[in-house]
Amino acid sequence: MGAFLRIYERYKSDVLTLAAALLGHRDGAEDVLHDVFVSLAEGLPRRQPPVNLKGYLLTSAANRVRDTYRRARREPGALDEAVPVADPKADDPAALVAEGERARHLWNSVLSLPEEQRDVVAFKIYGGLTFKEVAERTRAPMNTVQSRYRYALEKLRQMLQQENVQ
Amino acid sequence: MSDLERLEQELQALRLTPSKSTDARIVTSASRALAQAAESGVTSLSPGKAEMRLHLRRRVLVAAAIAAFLLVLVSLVVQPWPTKKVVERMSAFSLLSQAWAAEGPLFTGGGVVSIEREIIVTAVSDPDLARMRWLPIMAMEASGTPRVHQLTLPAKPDEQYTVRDQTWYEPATGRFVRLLTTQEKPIFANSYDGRSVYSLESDPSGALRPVGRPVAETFRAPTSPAELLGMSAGLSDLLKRKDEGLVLLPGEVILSDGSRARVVKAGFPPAGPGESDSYWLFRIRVKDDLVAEMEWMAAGESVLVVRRVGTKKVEVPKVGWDLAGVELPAPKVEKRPTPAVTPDMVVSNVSVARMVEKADFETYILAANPSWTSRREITDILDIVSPPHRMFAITYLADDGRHVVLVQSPSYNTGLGPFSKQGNLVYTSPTGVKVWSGPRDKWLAGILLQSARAVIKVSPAEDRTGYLLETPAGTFPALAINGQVTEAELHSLVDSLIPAREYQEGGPGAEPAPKP
Repeated sequence: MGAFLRIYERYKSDVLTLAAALLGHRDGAEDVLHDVFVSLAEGLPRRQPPVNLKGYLLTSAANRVRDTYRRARREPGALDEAVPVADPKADDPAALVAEGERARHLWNSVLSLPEEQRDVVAFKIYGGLTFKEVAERTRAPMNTVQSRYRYALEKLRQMLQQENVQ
Repeated sequence: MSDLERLEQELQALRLTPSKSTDARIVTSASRALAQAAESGVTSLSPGKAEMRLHLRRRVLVAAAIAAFLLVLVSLVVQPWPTKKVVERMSAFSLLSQAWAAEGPLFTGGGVVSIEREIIVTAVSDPDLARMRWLPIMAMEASGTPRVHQLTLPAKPDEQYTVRDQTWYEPATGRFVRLLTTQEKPIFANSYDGRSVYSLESDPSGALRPVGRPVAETFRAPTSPAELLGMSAGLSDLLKRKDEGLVLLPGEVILSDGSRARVVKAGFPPAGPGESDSYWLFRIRVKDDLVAEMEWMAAGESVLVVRRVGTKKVEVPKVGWDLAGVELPAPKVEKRPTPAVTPDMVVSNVSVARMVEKADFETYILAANPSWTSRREITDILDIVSPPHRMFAITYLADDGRHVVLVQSPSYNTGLGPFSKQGNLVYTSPTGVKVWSGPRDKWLAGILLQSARAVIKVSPAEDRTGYLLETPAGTFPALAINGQVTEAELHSLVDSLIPAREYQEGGPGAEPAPKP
């Protein structure tokens, strides 16, 4: 059980974030997280985890989203709580609060992206895939994938600017 | 940094954290799944948990020894460098053959070919598995003869490390360097600079030094460098074994670099439910037919991965063709197990005298070749499970296909001994050699005969027979016959077994004493 807990603690955030970004919602993402890790636990006594464990878990999560959860996907709803992994200004309470709010806003902006753009951002940023791999996954030409990524970043930048203005 | 680049960084830093209730739900479900899986594994074995673990460990040892035996014997066929065969497509056999053939062109063209691979010693929990990992490694002698060494890759339980395997080859001249390092420290090197063959050898202080030997007049650079320097060097006989030992697994897998691959499993099925399985998985990339990864599985765990990193053209190798420039740190006593190279995994066709001299246990041999056989060949092999002890396989080649294989080793003596009591005593020879027969006879015979394929040249027969022997010296040789034998023939075989030392000292058919 110790080995499983170490794996879970290390990768749970990566898997949850990718699933949520692909689904556009956190509730379903936690179900994906549950299924991915319980499936891993079922196999652990019989075989060693793959060498590229993170890649294996993220691919499992993406496959589960595609095969099961997207059919019942809901529209983005309540605000999600996203926090930076590492906070270099943790000793500055004012900066911490500001970054937390900005992170939450950025995350919810990601969830509000059109599905095609969100998929590209999810696979590229949280799945660690190259543009070529994203193109294969989403069955879209690589140029289209690159354009979608560029549009998505531009849209996110505008959303953040609007928030700052408000 | 532009706004968009900064935004990308911010996005990369975002991570969600599961709620505490989700954490608890997953840990509970996983705990239940782990317990159920473990329980299902235990109930299929017998009898008590402690005894089951002991049996399982022995099975692991035996499976590894058997896999080792298979692999070292198949490597024998690299003498001399083999030629490729054209085979039919769409099978595991042809897929491996294609992969082998695809490696040849890597060693062609102008300039110097630089090939890099990595050997990943994965984290495993079983201390026996962690300790006993190894790979065959090919080297060339100044005489031009290839030698098979053993690269031992031990680790502590749950420890993982990587060995960097670099090769440079100049097609125009046949010059080559192969260098294995871990944490920048060399553990093996073999090279040819056009005049001499070099290797790293230990001096009396234990320090590694490059030693060069001028090549013999008969020396020829390898015509098939992939067989010396390629990913599957030492495993080429797998490509000649079109039988149940190779399975093309259905579907495709995605490799860590995102490319698609087909998977071929090479090994033996376990003896029965609950038995350890030990096999290799070859992942063959679809786009270029090259073996991208080889993974050794044992007892359900991944114990070793060999991965192709890349191939490129360079002007000169990173180190000299004469190994100049290889950084050689001062020797120091390591507290942890470290990779090392043990020479001569396999020496074929040795004399009885050499067997007696090298064995550190009482070896046995048939006083006379069985009446249906015409020739005997003894192979001296490193006992992988307990190096530097040696394992000996005595093969009697039969005209009617009923070849006889007798294998003896310290690891068989300790690993197979306990299994004998699970069978029935079917015969005791006048000299006290006991013959045990049990449910694993046919499986064991298949392993022994498959392993001797390099000598007997045929597949194990469906009606093969096998027995575990127990000698008065307390050793447990394993005997296989590639077909049926009558009771009288079996008794004749066993009655004929005598200590090899006695045979050498003047028994029937004794060989001349070795020259001092």
